[in-house]
Amino acid sequence: VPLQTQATLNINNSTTVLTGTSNGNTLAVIDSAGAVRSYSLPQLSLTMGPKTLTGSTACDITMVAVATAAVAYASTARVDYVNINTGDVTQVTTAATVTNNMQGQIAGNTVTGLCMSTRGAGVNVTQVLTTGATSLTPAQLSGTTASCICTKSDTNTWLVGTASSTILEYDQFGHLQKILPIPLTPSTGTAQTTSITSVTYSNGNMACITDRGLLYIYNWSTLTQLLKIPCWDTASVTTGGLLTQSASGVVFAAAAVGTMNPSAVMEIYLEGNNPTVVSNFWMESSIATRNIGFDGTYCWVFQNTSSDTNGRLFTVNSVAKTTTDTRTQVGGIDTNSRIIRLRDDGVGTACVEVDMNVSAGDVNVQCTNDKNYIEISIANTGTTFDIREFLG
Amino acid sequence: MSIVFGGTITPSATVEDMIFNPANNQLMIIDSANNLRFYNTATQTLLTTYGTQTNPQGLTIINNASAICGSSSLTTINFIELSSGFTSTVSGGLVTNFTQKIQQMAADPNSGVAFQTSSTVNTLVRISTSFAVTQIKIGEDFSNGNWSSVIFKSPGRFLIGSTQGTILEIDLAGNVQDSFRLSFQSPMSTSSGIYNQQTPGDPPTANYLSYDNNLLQVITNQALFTIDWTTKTIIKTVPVNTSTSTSGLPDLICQGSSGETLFSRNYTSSNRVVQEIDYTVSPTNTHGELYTNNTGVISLLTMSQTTGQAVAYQPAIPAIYCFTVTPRATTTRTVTVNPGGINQKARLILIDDTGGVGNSFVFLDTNMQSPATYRVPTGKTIKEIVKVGSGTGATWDMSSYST
Repeated sequence: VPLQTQATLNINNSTTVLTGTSNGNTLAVIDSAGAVRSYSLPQLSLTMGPKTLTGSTACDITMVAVATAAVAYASTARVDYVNINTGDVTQVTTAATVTNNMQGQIAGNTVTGLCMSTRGAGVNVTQVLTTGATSLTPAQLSGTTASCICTKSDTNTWLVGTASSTILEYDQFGHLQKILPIPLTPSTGTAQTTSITSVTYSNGNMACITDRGLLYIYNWSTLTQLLKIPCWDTASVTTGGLLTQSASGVVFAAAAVGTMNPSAVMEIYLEGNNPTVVSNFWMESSIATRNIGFDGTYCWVFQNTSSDTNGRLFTVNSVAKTTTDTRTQVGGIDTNSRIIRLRDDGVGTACVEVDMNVSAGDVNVQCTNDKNYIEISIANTGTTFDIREFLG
Repeated sequence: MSIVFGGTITPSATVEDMIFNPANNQLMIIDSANNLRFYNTATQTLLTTYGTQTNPQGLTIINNASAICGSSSLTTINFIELSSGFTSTVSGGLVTNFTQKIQQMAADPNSGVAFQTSSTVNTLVRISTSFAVTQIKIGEDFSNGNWSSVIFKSPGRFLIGSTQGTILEIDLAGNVQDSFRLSFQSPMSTSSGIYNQQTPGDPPTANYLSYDNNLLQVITNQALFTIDWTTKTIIKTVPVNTSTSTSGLPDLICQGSSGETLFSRNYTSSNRVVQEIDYTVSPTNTHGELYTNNTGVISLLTMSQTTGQAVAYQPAIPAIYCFTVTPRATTTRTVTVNPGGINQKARLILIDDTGGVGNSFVFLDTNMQSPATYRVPTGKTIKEIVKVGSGTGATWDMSSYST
């Protein structure tokens, strides 16, 4: 069974699609002509627009409420709030321009209605209900720039990547919660820096890509490095590696820089102690990716060109967490055991999703819907074991 | 960190290839001034200079007394006596395929046989210590391909990579013993815009190779592949972006040591980074980096097979960076899966359980052909799982041990 099926979203537009965002059913995209449109993802059809935005330099869009998206601008000091069903636009002129003309510049929280955006040597916070904007200048951003941002929804905070090798966590008031410096030694000469081109977060783990071509995954609580692998490098942040939002630990990555034909979209499982590259799918094109996004069901890819009028849309098998019973018996008697569940997307991809002690009898243990698993049950302090496979 | 920077050598001419002499760990380079130079990388001092033939390209040690090099403009091979610099030139070869590229020449010093890539379709040059230089057609069924890289695999065996994505294992005579062809497979149904099958004229070029204990690392223009050579299974793929020209400077890996290789990318970039990459214990994990201060490409990389000494050449400066790599400690383990006394193909999953409940993680997941030897980390508690067959008929086994 293929992990993903693919469809073509006919954009039918002569302008470059810049960025998209989805509420799980509707994909709203902004384009280089300064317009916004919405598409029904299940039906692959246009449902709204094109509606003209208040400015022509929109560069990024994020959901900030169930039907409302916030649009950030690269060279105009404003944020537009867009109703993705009606196309109604509300302008916040007190907002600021974002740092880079690319995705990952504004990140919304649909629970609080707040979004934070990059703002050169600061960040900007806007509120969908009050449509107020606040420019913040945290001390850690002095002398550097915020290069990318993502929402950390479990704490209603944001992770900000910088041009000076750090990931910063801020609350809505710009109070620093945590800081992670990316190690950059040894060097052949003067101390080096790196720019973070993209950052994402899922259930305790943070992933980021640097312009030096490294993808890092850290346990954000302990700042323990879990994975470091080669990735796309770039001479400019705006053409670096891109990461999507995560859903149940699944994240996709692509290159905003031109790559060889075929160019790859990389699927990563981000959660737990054992994050791994799950698969790559290959696109018959060497054109750089302008935007890649993921809403838990659909992954979309837009290339940085006005000549390709299609977006590529991938339907990802359910990534929802669920539970499946486990029970260990020795000699017909229920017994305590250790359960190790390996998430299994094929040879080379197995990773530990669950490793825990469970009590005797039927126990619900976490897994992911529709994923293949190898479960190892170990009893009697390691002397007895059983292995089974199941579909989550 | 496992990379320690030592210092810089400033070469006096463009470096065309470089290797370490395993006998004394001296760095040997050939350069555009037609010289073979010897350096102490610990002190970054020049020790000796010998002359070579014109436009030397490709360098290897063919036995404990002699090195050989080819040329990018001549069809001759230079035999150079290491102790004296005495040079013999033998005709019958071919010009090398590229300039400023590693892995154009490799030798089995035990048998005194070496192979060199060439720009002639499907043709390698075979060289022996008896001064025999011959041209060998290999893989003629792969049309219009050139052999782009060659490394020494094990006594009597070499691995060669082609511009057609083919990787062959050959013996001392050039006979093909094993083969594999790289491809890109997307995990979904074929549809518009998705690359799922090899397109003629657009194959991945096996630019560079590194092999250790049944695992092969290959860099193409699109991705870094880790392949289990016992079953020819791609077990890990990491996409990269690289030059469109194979004769230019694609991303680099060098023949590794202790199951680790060095990697440097050569696409448009900020200042370059040399990465220490594991491809055996935990494929594609990066253990350390050396950050450079320049955006110029790294055109040559090599590391000692015995000492951890390593060098990277950045022509734009120009500089040869000298550093040492301390790989994670490992040992080897031979896995035998032979129910009923018959060796089987099996899936092998190795779990590091040193941290106990809640902290285990998979470090290797591969398809193996029993018996096969793999590198495993030392000082660890390991759970080893093997699966034979598939579906409801599959059988499993698990063993635990400490290393």
